[in-house]
Amino acid sequence: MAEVRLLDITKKFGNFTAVDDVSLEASDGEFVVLVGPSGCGKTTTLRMVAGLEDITQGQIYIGDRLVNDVPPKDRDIAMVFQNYALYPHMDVYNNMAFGLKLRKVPKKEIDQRVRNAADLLGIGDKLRSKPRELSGGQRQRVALGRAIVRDPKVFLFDEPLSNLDAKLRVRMRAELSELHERLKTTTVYVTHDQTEAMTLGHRVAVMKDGLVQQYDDPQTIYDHPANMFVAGFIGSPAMNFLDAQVVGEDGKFYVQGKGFKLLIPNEKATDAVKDYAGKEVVFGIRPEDIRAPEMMREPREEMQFPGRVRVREPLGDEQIVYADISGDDIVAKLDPHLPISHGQDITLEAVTERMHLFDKESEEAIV
Amino acid sequence: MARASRVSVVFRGLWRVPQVLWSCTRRTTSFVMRRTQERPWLFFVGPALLILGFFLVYPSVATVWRSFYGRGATLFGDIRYVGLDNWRYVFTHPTMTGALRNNALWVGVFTMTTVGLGTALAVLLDRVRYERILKSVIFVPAAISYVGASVIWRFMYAYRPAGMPQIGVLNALVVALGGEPQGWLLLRPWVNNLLLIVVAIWIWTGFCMVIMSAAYKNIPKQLLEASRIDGANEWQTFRKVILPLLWPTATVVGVTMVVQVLKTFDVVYVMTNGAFETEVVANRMYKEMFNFRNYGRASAIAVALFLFLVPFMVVNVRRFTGQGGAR
Repeated sequence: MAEVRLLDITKKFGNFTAVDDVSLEASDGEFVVLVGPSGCGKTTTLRMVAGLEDITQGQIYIGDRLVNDVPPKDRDIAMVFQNYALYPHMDVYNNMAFGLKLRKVPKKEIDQRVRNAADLLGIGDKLRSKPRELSGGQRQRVALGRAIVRDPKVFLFDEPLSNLDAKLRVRMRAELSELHERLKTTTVYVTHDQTEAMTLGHRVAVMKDGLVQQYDDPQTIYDHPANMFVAGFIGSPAMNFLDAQVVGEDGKFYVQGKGFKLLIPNEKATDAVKDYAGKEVVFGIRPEDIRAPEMMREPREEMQFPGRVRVREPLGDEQIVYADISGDDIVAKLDPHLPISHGQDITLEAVTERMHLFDKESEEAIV
Repeated sequence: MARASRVSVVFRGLWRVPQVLWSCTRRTTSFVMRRTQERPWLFFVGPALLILGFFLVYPSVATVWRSFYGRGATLFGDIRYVGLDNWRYVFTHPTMTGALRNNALWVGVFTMTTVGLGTALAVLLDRVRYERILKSVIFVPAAISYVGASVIWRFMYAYRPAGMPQIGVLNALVVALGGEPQGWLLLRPWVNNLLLIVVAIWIWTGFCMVIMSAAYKNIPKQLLEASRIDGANEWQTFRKVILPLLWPTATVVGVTMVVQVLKTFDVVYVMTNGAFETEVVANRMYKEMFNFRNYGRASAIAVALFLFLVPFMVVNVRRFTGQGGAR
C-alpha cells in the first residue's frame, strides 16, 4: 500500500509535448481515474508511473521512494492493459503465476495465491485453459488476476474495459469497484469513458492536451466544472452552451441570449457574475436541468424560454429532445410521458440554480 | 478474275469457320457432358492427373526402379538387375559415408547457425536506429547465387605461399597478425567443411532474419511490457515470452533450412568439388550421373536423399496445414 505522487511531470516526444507539467497525487488506497479524449496524455502519464516511458521532467514517487530511474520490475506495481496482454503460450495458471515465479515465491504460496485470486474472480475452473480459449470477459479477469496475485503497492489500469461489449463493460465496472473495496490498493485508472470515470473514481483527473483540466471528486467535477472543456466532457448528453450576455436590471441579474432571457437566482448572482454585467459570456446548462413547465409544481416564468422541437428520442425512462431556439440547438432530457411531437412549439424551463457561466475568451468557469 | 474468285471462295470459306467450330464444340461438349454425368470427377481431375503422372509419378517410379539396376539402366541401355548393390554402395562405401557425415555436419551447423543468428539479429536489430539499412545489408547475399557466392568466398579463402602478397582476405588477416598463411580448403576434415558451410550461412542468415523479424514484430509490444512489469529482466523476457512465441516460426524456418541444406551442392561443386573430404551427397550424385555415367548408383543416391528429406517435409506440411502448430 502506498500513495502515488506526480510532481510537475512533463513528457516530450521530440518537439511534441504529450504531458505538460502534470501534478497529481493518489493517497493510500485511493482510486484515481485519468480521463480525457484520445491523445490527451492520460496513457502516457500512466506509462510513466509504470516505468514504461522515461520522464522528461519532474518526479514520480511511489510511497516515499523516488522512482524516476527505477525499472518497472522494481516499482512493485501491476498493470492491466487494454488488450489484456496475456501470454498466449501459457495457460491461465501460469499467466497469473509468472510474476510470482520470477520473484521466487515458494511454489506452495504461488499455488495458494493463484487459486485464491482465480476464485475471487470466478475463473477457478479455467486455470488450465489457454487465453485463446477464453471469452473477452474471462481474459479480462485473468489480466486482473495476474495483477492481484502479485499484491502490489499500486494497480495501474490502461482502458481495461474498452475491448468488452457494452453489457459486460457495465458488469465488469461494478466488479472492479467491488474488488477495489475489498483490496483497497491504490489504483490509477485510465479511460476515455466518462461514465467509467464517474462511477469508479474517488477522484477524477480530466485531461486535455497534456494538461490536467480539473482534479476533483466526481460530483464536484459534475456540479462545478472548472472550464467549458470539463463541462462538455463530463455528462451525457453534453452540456448545452449558448452565447449570452449578463444583464443587470432593477437589482436583478439576467442571462440573455438569442431567444431567451433567464433570471440568475441569487445564489448564482455572485460578485464575479455581477462583474460581467454587460459582457459576453457562455451560458451552460445541462440537458437534465431543463424541464417542461407543465411537469413542474411551481413553474417560474422568468426562467422559461420558447423552442421548437426538431428531434425527439424516447428512451423509455426519459426522452431526449433536441429543440431549436432562435437558430441555436439545445438538448433537454424530459419526462418520457410528456406528449411531444416533431415541429411542436414548446416552452422549456431552465433550472438556473444549476446553470453555469463561462468566460468567452478563457473558457474558464465564472460560476 | 480467277484470282478474285479464289479470294471470294476463301472468304466464303471463312464464313463457315465459326459454323464448323460451333458444331465441333457442340459435339465435344455433348461427349464430355455424357462422360461427366457418368464419372464427373474424371472431367475435373483428369488433366491434372495426366500432367502429374507424366512429370512427377513416372520419373519418381523410374528412378526407384533404376536404383536396383546396373550403370546403364536407361530405357535403351544395359538393363541389368543388381539387387541392393547400389544401396550397399550408398550406405557403406567410404566415399559415401564421408559424404553422409558431411551432410550431417552441414545440416547441424548450418541450420543452428542460420536460424539462431537470424533470430538473434531480428531481436537485436529491432532496437537499433538504422534497422532497415542494416537488415537490407544482411539480406543482400540472399540475392546472390550459390555459384557467385562461392566464387566470392574462394577469394576470401585464397592461398599464396608465405612471402608472397596474400590476395585472400582471411590469409591477409592471418599474415597481418603475424601468422602463417594457410591453405584453408585443404585443412581436412573439419576446418574446410566448416568454411564451406560458412558460405551457405552467409547466404541464408539474412533470409532467416527477415522471417524471424516479421514474427518478432508480430508479438504485441504490450506482452513484453507486461513481462517487464511482472518482474522479468531482458533475458528472462526473451527466454520466457519472446522465444516461446517465436518457436513455431523458428521450426518452420529451421525445417526449410534443413531441406535446403540436405540438397547442398553448388558451394561444394564450385569450391572443392568434393576433394579433401568435403564431399556431400548431392555432389556425389552429380558425379555418378554425369561424370561416371552410373545411372543406377546416381538413382540410388537420389532416392536416399529424398528419403532423408521426407520426415522434414512431413513436419513442414503439417505446420502449413496448421495441424502441428501452436498458432
